[in-house]
Amino acid sequence: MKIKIFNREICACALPDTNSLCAKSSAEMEEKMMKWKRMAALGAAVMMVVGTLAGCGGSGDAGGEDGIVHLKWVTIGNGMPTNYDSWIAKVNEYIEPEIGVNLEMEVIPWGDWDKRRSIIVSINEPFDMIFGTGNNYIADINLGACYDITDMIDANMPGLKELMPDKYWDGVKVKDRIYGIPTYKDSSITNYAVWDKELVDEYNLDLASLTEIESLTEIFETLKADKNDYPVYVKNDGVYYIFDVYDQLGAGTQILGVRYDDADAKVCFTLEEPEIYSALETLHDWYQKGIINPDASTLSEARVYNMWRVAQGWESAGVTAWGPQMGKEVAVQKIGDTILSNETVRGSLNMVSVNTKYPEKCLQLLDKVNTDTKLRDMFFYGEEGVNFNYTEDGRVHKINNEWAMAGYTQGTFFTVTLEDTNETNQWDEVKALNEAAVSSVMLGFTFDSTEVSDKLANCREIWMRYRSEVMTGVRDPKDTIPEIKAELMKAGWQEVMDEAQKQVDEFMGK
Amino acid sequence: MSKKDKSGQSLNQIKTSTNVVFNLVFLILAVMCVIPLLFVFSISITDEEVLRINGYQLVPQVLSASAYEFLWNERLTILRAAFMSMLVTVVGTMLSIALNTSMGYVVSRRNFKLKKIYTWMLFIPMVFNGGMLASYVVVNNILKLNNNIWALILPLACSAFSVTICRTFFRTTVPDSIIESAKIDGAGQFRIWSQIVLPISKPVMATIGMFAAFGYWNDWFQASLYIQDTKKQTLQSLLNQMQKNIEYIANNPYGGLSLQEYKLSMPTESVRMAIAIVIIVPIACTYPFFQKYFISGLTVGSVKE
Repeated sequence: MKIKIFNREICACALPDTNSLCAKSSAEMEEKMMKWKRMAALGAAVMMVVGTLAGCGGSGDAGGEDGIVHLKWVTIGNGMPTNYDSWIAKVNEYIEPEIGVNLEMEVIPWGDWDKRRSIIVSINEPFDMIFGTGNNYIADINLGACYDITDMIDANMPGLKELMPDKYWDGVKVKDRIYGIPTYKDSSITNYAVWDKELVDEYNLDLASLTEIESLTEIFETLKADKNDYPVYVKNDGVYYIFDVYDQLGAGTQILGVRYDDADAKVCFTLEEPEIYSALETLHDWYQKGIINPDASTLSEARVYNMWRVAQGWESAGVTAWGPQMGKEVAVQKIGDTILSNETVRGSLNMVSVNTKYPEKCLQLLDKVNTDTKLRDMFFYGEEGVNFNYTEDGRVHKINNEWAMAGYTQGTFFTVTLEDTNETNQWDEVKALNEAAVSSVMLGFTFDSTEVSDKLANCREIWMRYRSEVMTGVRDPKDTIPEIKAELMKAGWQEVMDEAQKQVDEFMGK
Repeated sequence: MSKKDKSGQSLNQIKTSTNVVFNLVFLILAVMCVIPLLFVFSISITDEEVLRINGYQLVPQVLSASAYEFLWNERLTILRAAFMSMLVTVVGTMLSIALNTSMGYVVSRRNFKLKKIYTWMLFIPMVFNGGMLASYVVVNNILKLNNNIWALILPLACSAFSVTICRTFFRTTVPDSIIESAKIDGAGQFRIWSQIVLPISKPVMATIGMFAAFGYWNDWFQASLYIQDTKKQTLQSLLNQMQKNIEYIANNPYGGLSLQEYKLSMPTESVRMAIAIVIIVPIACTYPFFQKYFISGLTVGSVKE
């Protein structure tokens, strides 16, 4: 009966002029209607099938054959390698029998990364694993885009578990759960002063006595006078390394932090801390004396040649990276402790997508990448015979520099075969630094800023407005810091600090 | 020129002082346009070592052709990218002219019933737009154009702005009487548009064609969203990617030294500038062609009233 009424209604509205049609026997109409309905149902079914297929896209299907699953890994680099097809065929040939995974990679160029990554995460484009850094990590977790892998690590990643000290796993914990796999490399931070060696020799400098920022003024004045150049040549983020001793708690701003070795874990407004304040005063002094380049606060790209600068790394990087970068020999001097904090660990990690069907396989793949030297070399150096060759003594000889994937995004450095040009094993050096690193007191704590997110965002913006001018010494901290503080207070800074302190106390109390 | 008034000027001549001021203004504007170009060129022929020490200088101290040599060695990549740029620009511009003028013609006809609603449909996206995510979903998930050259062409093919220009042009410069006469001779709408309206609308076609051509030639944004295959990259996106890659590395000191090491394999400053020159030259060469239509086209009439 219902159908009949439905029929008439359809007739009435769809074909208003052809009343005669409605007058036809309703049995005939019913038959037609059934036919139509059947077609509609069929159509819907087709749509659904197509939809599901499309939804799976490049990922998650193909689970049938021999239990081999298809995984897609999105990562960052210099774009898709030109020999990707032949390379991935070799990789799959190797990993399919071993862990039953058929891999597909997407390498997004660095420049497009932030934009493209946020799009594919927010529209749920199908992928199984994605690379990320600290900021992505928290945002993705809040978005619910990451798979909680805490309970799967022991069973699926025995190799990495053994390789990487437990404290590095603490660095990726958010509320005691783990959502990402860090790449175990230079995952702690050690700052080095990098000097032009020629100057060090010329002035007979004792670098060990020049680690404090205040102690540098004198030699810089001399250099400025003699060389008629700016001894400190920086871009708009200035001399930022002075904040590295503060753990930013994941709040993402330099002005809020807990000192890494502060057992009381006091959340502070870093600009007012004596050591930062005095460093800022020194910067202003430098600016006035013409030690810092006057256009620093507006520069977006720094100069290649620097008489002095501070960089993160390890001792032999002076020979392998900083020197060649600058085109001159450099002398390096370690500054301060090697620090391990959430940020340093989260500098590079891989997350498993919440939409993946095979989280275990993802972890197994990453474990394999981290521990199997042959596979690790494939990811790090590219295709054997095209990008590199093994030498007789088991080293790697690079044929060209065309391999576009970035080794630091994939897994540890400590299973990578050394290059034939390496004189020393710098990874041993990094490993030693990592193991000796001082853990920040806040390791494993991430500030949950949901309660104060608007206020925090405002405060962050306020600091961003002042940052360039403060960090390059243009502004005098004596006037500027009270000014910044007054503005921050209006934006709700105190509440942000209180909330952070409350959470920190809870974390320390347990 | 023959008749001169007391001040020694001919009748239609602009006052000397005004003339000087105008000339100065245009001179300054021209210099502002030319200097950056000269800078880019001079950096591209400066020796990298000198750049490292002295920074940018308008007159290079030490000349070097190494940047262009580098490009020559990479000519396969560059030429392929240039070909893609060319292809996208040519196909895109033709498609764009066809779509914009036809739509413009339709909404310019007063007797067209849906004129009002179409005008609104044009007007709204001129003011608001759906944003990046929505268009990405349409192109990528619905049209499935990911990694497809059409993803570079279709999203830019039709612009509300160009349609509005066409509409205004057709309404103001194409008289109703000529369309009426065509109708009397038995022409349909398509024939009126293609054989009557378009031939007398070359200036507007040149205008929107130029917008479209520059839009396509300079576009890197679509490529950065939709093209992953390096073989399908355009010249502009190649340059943009290099530049952005270097910026990313410079702005992420916390990525660790391993990230910083990649800086070593990035193209040098002068190479980037040399690519910019390679991009500028072809599009600069197309200017004179458009210019011709601007000058001749604007004075051409078709019906004497």
